[in-house]
Amino acid sequence: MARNWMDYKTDAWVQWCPACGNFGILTALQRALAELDLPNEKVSIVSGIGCSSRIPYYIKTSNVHTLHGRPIPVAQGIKLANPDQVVIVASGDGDLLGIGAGHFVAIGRRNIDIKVILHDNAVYGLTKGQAAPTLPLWFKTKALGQPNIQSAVNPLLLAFASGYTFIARAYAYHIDQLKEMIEAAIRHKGTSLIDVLQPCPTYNDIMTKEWYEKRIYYLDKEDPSWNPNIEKPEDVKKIPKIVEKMMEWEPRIPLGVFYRNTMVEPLDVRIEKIMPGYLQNPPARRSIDIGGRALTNPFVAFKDRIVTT
Amino acid sequence: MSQARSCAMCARWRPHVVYPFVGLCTHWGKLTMDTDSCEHFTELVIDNRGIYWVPEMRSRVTGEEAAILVRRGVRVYLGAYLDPDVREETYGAF
Amino acid sequence: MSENVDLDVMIGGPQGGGIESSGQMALRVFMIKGYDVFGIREYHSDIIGAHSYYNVRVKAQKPRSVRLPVDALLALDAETIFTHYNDLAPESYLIYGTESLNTRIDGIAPMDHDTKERVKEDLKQKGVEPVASEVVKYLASTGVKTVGLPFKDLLKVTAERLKTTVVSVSKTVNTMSITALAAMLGIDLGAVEKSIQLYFAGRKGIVDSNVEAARTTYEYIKDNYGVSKPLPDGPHRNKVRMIATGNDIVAMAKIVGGVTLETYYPITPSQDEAFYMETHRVFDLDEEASRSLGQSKTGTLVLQAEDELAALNMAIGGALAGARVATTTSGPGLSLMNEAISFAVITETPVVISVWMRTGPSTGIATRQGQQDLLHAMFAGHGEALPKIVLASGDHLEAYYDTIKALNWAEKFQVPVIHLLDKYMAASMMSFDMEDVDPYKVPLERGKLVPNPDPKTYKRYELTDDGISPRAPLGTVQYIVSSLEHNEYGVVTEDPVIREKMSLKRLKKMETIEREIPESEKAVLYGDPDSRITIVSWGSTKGPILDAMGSLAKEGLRLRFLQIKTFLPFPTSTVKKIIESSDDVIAVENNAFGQMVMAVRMFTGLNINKRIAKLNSRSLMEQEIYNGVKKALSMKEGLVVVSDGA
Repeated sequence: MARNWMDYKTDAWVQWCPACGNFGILTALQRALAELDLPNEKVSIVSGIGCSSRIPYYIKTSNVHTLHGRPIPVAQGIKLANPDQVVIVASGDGDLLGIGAGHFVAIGRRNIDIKVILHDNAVYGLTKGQAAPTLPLWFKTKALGQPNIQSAVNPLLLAFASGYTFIARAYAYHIDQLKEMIEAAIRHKGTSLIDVLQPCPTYNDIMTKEWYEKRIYYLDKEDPSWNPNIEKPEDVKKIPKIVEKMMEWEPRIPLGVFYRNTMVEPLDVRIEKIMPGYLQNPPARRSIDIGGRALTNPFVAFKDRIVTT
Repeated sequence: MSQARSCAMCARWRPHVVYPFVGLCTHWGKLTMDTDSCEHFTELVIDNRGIYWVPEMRSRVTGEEAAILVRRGVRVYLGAYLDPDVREETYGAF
Repeated sequence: MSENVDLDVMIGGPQGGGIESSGQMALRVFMIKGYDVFGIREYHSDIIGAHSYYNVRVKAQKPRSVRLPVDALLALDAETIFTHYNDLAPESYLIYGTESLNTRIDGIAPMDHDTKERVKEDLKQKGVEPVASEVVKYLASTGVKTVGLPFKDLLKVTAERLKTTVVSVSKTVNTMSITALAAMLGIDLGAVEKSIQLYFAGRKGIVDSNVEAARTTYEYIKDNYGVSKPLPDGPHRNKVRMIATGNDIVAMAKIVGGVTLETYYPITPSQDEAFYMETHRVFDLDEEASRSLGQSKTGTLVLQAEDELAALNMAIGGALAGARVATTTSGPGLSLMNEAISFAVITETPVVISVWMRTGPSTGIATRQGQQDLLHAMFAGHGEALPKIVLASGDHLEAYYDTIKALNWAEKFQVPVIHLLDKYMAASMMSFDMEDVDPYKVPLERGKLVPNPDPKTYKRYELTDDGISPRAPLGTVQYIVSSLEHNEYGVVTEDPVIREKMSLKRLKKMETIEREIPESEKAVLYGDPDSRITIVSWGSTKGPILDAMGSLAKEGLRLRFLQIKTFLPFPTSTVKKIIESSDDVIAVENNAFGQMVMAVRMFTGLNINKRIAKLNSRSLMEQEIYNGVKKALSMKEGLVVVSDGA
């Protein structure tokens, strides 16, 4: 029997502010998991610290709520140890692009099969609305003590430069489109980013629902020939156009799948090449002993240190 | 051949970092001894914009410094020869 | 009689210039001759060119430390002569390349300015010109036997004999030096040839030229310096043995001990451990395992992370998924890991963190010895990051078994284990036998790991009598793991009653750890148990202390030595009992503030008022403990700073 999205609900009270964009992301994620009919225990949603990082308590899967900035490393540890687990990072812009930016870059180099959902509201909610790395320069929300004198980072370009092989942007209140992007990301085998634009009605009084909805449009609606897929060497010709779209922001903000590259080996395939047997017996499952007895002896396994006297 | 035109005095020669009596001849692409020599001997001309290796100091200097050292009789070279297996001899240092 | 053999040899030269292969070959020569060896590398935070040296101690049975002065110094360059001329014993040998004789100290660019000035001052007082040839002459006048090797001439002869060019044999100079050393020490050419074959195994042309170089040098020494008194064969001939560094042996123990995922960020002096694991990521199973598993090999995944934050958090992720995990670092990396240690504590995640200490504070001296992270390890992690285990090993073989125990304890108690090691162990190597690293002596235990939990009743953080809950890997059953305070299901809570219960659960778990780790694993007493003079120490000071105690006992001064092995849990009753039954207690540490003394005071309320500290960042040596103990015993209280080593 196929699973229903209600099967991924928990009975926890969802503690986000009314009208928070996180609600849309939560619903879209639950629906995507249901449509893919994924067993609850076989999915791990890993979050950092922030409003959005409470999401592990609201989805009935095997989740981890980690430290500020560290969901990506923890998620990778899970995936390295058990490549069969569906691993999703769901965290905020401050977490992923501020304190955890090094990991956001490093994961791309590995093309490990993890989906990063970036809850992008441009502010730090839990500490009362400070500027996050995606808040544009000179924006001064009511919550800020002074105008923002730091420029915004472009998450799509950063992901592209880091080697992510699936890059998309969504809008938190467009649940159906977001759900489809999440499903596409889960189906893609490699590091994926979905940058989800998300109003924060409490602290970001500039980038509101109205602000976003005046600007957003879908790449494939505007241009039915839009094709983000890089499947063969000559497809790299599409990249200048893709990058151009990633850079577009004012007056219009494009949404949709920008880039999907299936030509890059994911990490598990790379590991299997240097360590045959990895996929069959990954670290979480390979036996380490036989009834407590170690599997090898230094004089068997480490012959390079032997001296015959 | 005279000592003055030996590998050790040749612009094409790169002395070994640790044992400078051996070096790499960039013309022949092989190791030679400092006292070897051949018809392709080339005089080293110091270029102020160049970078030079000074075995005696185990260090690199700019062309301007090299010119001063040469006037004092110190041998300088366009580069040093690093053994390709040198990583077997090095240690983690940071 | 080989029992009386106790040789100290030093090999010095520029980093990247053959010190490593010379040292390794020398260790093998002595092993082939039937001896046990202990060798230490001292080197600069530099890749190529700065001064480095090997200290090697040779004895019939397990030397545990090195000593000064040495019986032979092999100087591969002039800087070595200038750095170590005071380290030679009377009637010792100085072997050097004649090429370096004309070098003046001021011409040695890589030499530390402060060192240079100090050496010049010392030579001035001795009336010696700061030129290598003059220092050699001075040493000869003090009774040192000086042996100059004309490398270029020896290379020419070697080349002629092999009917090849001088260049093609030029890489044999290290072998020539080692052969000269061996010849002077009375070691036969056969042992040298065998070590060449072993060291260059599989590289036929290289073996041939090195063997010929050894023969040429051997004859040169015989012709010019005569034949030395032969070194008798040691007791370990015709055996299959091993030689490994501390880094190697911990890597071996991790693989044997069942680590399936190791993460790391490169830092000295830990990196060679991860490197060795990478090299051996796919390894052969023993016969029984091959038969039982139906495969001949298996693997350990090693991943280089982008920083230590990622290294530990990745390891934690791996452990949550059910893997046996470990990471490796040094003090600066431990600083970055602090937050994740606290995360491992609250999520009750088993992880072993090998911490190879070095000289601090801050970046300090990256390649030198220090024991300055004891309190850092004990207090690592914010917000009362307890329970956790802090374990310190005293030598290579202890580190091997401790690594396996640490892996067991981490899983059994579901806590992070910080395994303290240091540069002294990382960069020292010792010989050992198969029975010394018995892989089956410590059975592998995984505690309350439940591979197939019942989804209806499973509670990851179930409250139990021992504070330890059943641990199901993520992916086997749906539950949540949180760095926030949580209830028995892992779900976040701020409920005061549950918060209190969870605090008490962690406290109870620490009590379980204290109870279940036997006292004999927490502290070990060596020497004369009835002595009323006690040395208290921890970590790699063990070797020099035990060797020095042997020398002091010969003079009738019988001591006992209490080695503290675990600081969490702390062996409170043992330490109390030993200190209270002593007239003199001397603490030995490679740190300035007496961190172990502070820990002892914290847990026992007792003070240790005599301390020996080594603070110059060099390896502690036997004679320093020997002299330091005598000095400490002559004082009422205070600090003895020992300062040997260049």
